[in-house]
Amino acid sequence: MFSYAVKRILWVVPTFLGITIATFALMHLTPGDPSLSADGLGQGVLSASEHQRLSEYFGWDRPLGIQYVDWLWAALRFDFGRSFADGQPVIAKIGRALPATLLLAVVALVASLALSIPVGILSARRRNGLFDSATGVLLYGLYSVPSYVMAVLLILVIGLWWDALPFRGMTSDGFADMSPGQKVMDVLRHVILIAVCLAYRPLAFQARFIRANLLEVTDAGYMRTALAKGLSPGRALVRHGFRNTWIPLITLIALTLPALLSGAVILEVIFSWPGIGRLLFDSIMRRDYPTVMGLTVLSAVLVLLATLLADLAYARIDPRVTYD
Amino acid sequence: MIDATPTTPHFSERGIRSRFRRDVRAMVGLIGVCLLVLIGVCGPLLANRQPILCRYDGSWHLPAIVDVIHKLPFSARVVSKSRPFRYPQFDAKRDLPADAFALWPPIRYGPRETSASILEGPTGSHLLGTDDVGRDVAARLIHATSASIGAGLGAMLLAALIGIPLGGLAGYRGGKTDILVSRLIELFTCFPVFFLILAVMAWLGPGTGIAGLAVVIGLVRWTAVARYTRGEFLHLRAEDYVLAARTQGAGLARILFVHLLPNAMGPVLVALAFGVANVILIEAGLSWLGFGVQQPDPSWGNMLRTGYAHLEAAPHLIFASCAAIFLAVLSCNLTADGLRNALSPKLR
Repeated sequence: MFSYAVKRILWVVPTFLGITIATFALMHLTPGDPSLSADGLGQGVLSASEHQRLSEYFGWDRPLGIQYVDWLWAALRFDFGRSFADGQPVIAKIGRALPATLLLAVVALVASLALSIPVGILSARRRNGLFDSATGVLLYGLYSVPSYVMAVLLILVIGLWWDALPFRGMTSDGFADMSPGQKVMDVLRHVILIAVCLAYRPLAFQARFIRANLLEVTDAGYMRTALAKGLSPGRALVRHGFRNTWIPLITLIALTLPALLSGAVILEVIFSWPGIGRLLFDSIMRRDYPTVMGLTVLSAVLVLLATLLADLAYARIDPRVTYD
Repeated sequence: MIDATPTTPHFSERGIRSRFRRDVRAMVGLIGVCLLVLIGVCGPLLANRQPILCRYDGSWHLPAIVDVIHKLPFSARVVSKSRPFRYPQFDAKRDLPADAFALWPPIRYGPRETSASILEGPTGSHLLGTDDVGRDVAARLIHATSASIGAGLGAMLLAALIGIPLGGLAGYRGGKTDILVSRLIELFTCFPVFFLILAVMAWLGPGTGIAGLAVVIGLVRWTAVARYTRGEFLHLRAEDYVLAARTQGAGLARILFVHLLPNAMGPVLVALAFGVANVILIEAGLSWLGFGVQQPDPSWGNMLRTGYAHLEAAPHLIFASCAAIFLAVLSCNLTADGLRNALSPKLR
């Protein structure tokens, strides 16, 4: 376990360097110098002196290698420069946006797991039974509905026609004057619709995944033993069968994370949710390159760390895991 | 997202085909995909402001069929519409004599043709209503099909062109090549897909057309294809026929593409089919955000965007595009799933 963990952690280093190189290359190899574009940096084409000042600020006149090392060294200290849009440090902007996205991701993940685990177990219990077939068709259909389609429909029906839940932003007007309890309730009310939109596709996938994994273990020897010693089929499935689907499930959750982050871009824009997806979209529309680069690197590193944690957890749970 | 476990076909091609045919859901999906392609190609015959066939001024004209041909790039230089149908100011509905023979498409509106009825609900003349500048929603829906299907197929073709050779090489060669390619795949999967695509779009600008969009998506999405191909080739490289080919002096390209690829084609096709569904979803999402297909050209995504802007006044606008995106994604998913089940029929 220990040597596996060390090796696994060491493998993160080249991938991390790869992420930074890829992002840096994206910044430099794509056609068009950002400072020369007509709608970069506010309106109108930059004057020659302004371009000169900018290129000095970002060091465009130096060799690429030195630019990269400098940028990497700064990025390692979480210094991504200042935003082109409002001059604030990029890391401060990201720091302000991150909690909203994390809250959303956690709520969506918890909600999807809370539903997918019982649904998965129940449908595996009577394979091809009524419940299994019904949820199978329903979840399959749900999986094919893009989250933004669901968002528009939910906003129309629940937000506009029924006027039951808010769908703009994270807080209501007058949030500052609320008591702490009211504040929590207010944010929770705002998170419901967007979290539902983010959660139902992972939910559909996880439920089918759990079902398939459970069906695979129903023929295992330990399941027969559990049944032979008199455990009820349901209890055997939950206590003995489901334990063994935890391991692939953890990997699945880690793999869901990038989808939760990136699927959130459109949803955050639709729901005016002040998270990193919306920040990315706004930065792109304003051609705020330092912020775009900072967000790209940070989100990739976040995913890298999540997969690392999943692999380590996997090794901790399943003693059979070794490197290669 | 969809299960990426490689599946090795142990069954004959005929067995796979008959299992696929017996699978109702898979067949429904396949029929759906074929219909979408058909609608995408024949869009101008289904909704057009000019007739398919008509007699005008003593000669026969085929303006809508020329529109179909014009979907091919550069074809406008070879074939052009006959006079007077090539002039924008000629309105066939108004200017054709009432007694002249004319075979009209079922929907007599073009995708960019505006009218005075704005944000109107479904009526007899506009089956799905009109949008904010009075364009017929049904006509736009039909003409948007080719953008979505084209982006889906184009992006996955590019993904296949990158992913199959790279993944195949990694799986067949193993060793350092495999480590290198696998790291590259891992690197790409670290970036959330939408983030990466949007970051590239930041440099290309929102005006990037549908072709640019497909290229960007393909460049980002090749990893799934490469992963599948690598897994398959890793299994297959130990087969006797590979050894036989090698002893006969077959080159690397020959072994990869002539001997290995046909045997790994099933799982690779599964990855590609799921990929098409995913690209349709991404393309519509990007159009929704204002990238990709630009107005007045129609796409399901930008129709959804228009609909969202007038959500309260004209809810009918979103239903059509919502249904179209859903059905397209569902058809591709059903086909891909059916194909996977036909290849490895262990659990249903």
